[in-house]
Amino acid sequence: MIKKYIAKCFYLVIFVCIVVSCSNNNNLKNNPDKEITIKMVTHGQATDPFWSVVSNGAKDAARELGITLHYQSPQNFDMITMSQMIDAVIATKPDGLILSVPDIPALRKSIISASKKNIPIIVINAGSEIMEEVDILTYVGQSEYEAGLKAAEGMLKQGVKSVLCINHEIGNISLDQREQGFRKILSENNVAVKTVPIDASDPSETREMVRAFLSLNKKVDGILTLGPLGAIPIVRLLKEIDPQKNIKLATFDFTPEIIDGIMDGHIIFALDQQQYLQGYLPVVLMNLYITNKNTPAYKKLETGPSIINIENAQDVLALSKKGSR
Amino acid sequence: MVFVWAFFAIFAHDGFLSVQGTKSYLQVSSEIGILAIGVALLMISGEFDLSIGSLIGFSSMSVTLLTVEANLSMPVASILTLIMVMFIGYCNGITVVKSGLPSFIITLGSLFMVRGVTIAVSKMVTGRTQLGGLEESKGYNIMSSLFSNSLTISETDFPISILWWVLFGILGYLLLKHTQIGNWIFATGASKESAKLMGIPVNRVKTSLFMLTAFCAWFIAITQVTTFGGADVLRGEQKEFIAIIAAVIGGTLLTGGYGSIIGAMIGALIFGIVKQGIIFAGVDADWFQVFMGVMLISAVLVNGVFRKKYAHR
Repeated sequence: MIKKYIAKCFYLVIFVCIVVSCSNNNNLKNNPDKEITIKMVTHGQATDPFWSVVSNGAKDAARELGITLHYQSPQNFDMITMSQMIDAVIATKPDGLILSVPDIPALRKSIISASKKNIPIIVINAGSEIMEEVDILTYVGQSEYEAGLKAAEGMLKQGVKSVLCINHEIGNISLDQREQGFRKILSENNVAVKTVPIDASDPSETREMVRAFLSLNKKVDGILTLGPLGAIPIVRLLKEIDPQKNIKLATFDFTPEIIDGIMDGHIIFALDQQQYLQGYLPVVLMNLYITNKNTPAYKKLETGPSIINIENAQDVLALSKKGSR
Repeated sequence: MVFVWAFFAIFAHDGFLSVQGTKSYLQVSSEIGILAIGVALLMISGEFDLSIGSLIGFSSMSVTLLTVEANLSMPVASILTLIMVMFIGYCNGITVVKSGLPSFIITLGSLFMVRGVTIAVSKMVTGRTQLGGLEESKGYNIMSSLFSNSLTISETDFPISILWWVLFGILGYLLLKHTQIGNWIFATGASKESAKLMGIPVNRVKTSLFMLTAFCAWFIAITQVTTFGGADVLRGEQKEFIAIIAAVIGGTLLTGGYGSIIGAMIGALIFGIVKQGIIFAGVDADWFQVFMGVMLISAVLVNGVFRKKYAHR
């Protein structure tokens, strides 16, 4: 029995050594100054292009400041794994903690325990309401409800009568708030809002679900997706089934594919929350707090929404391909 | 396992060895470990249960709905849920033994059915996929003292699930090694036909083991809802595979007839150490799946080599 496990572990250790030692060496080379370590845990799924921009922002800031930054996120939208990640990160006693909080009840315990250990916290992107319970330095993100209102106004200008709204991350409060704001304005104007559940990790499934929905609901003349993971497969679908561009598609957040969609007219606009700032600013602010005890007076630093449409799409395209917009 | 631990102890210097770091991987291991114990027993008897992931989601949502929406006290809601979950386990078992179809397919079917019902019913009743507010409900204190209590050692709260894990491990070990039922489970998995000829109630053994895995899923669900005070419909996603992985790393055979509880517990522990260790080492968590895959394959390879040696002796 014992022999068996020793041999087994031997194999494991070799593999583990190879992988971890590679990544560890890289970290050391990039950051000779190990004095300040900031840890960042977000709910960004590995496949979500939105979050790679946030992590680029954070990494750029850390490189410019010469501090160490560790970025972690769970594989899928799994709040229990995320809370366990935060617990583990707290145990490493970082100098500062940057978190997104898409589900306050599930993450509350972990955040409170960080705050009890006097680790300064900045919340980004989702969950600004946590500041009512826990003392945080600041929140960097957009007011999701207001962004939803803005999206609805943009849609109304296009004269839509019946709208499909697509949520790619069920259980995320920010997306719920966007949808609430959106629905409020549209229902005041007697526009019907319908919804389809999708699995964000599977673009072809998303496309087929929406295709089926649109063929059953011919009256739908507008689609709002709550993020690029929903929008990208739908742009492809619309190019195929709606060359006359009768269906108006709008989305929250964007990627190069979305901008292409705006430039060829299939997407009427994207609401931009400039998520690069949600990575870059908290690292800078955290560093200033640790080294200089600066505390921002605004408890809510709003990074958006701004609107990207046919007029300004060209300007951000190159930046978006570079991964900073 | 010691090597894996030592490895992370060296590379993940800051925090992994601390009391809080230890708690962090023990907690992850204990939840997977409880599932892995049930799954290992079932796998030894020659069957799979892929439905446990969605059973966790179902149980946590059902308890929360019954408590928050139907105003039942939490212990009552939990017991009602347990009855439903055990019934699903019973159905899995009966369908598998009566139809003779692979349990892989049958429980894959129930995985989807149960997950679908969970999402549909919660949206129908509440219009939401995430529910909270259990803390204020009747009987929450009793349940949370049983399932999510914690023991404070040097300012760190060790969750009670670690204790349950060890207790279930001991019970499972005794059951498998020192009782007639244990022999039945091995015999059923090694060869169903000869076990039948020896007069072992093969069908009953298998059905009760399906109910056992369902029970384990329920147990984890209750632990999670009491700890987090609420539930969402996606709870337990992919846990079915993780529990199987832990059992296989611990030496349980996919074909049945061989395996151990201690092995499954060690498998779960390795899983927890790697999962949390990666975070301590500051490696991007994207690498975690690479580790899991490598571990799974090397464990199976090593098991194969040793079994051959063992068979020649």
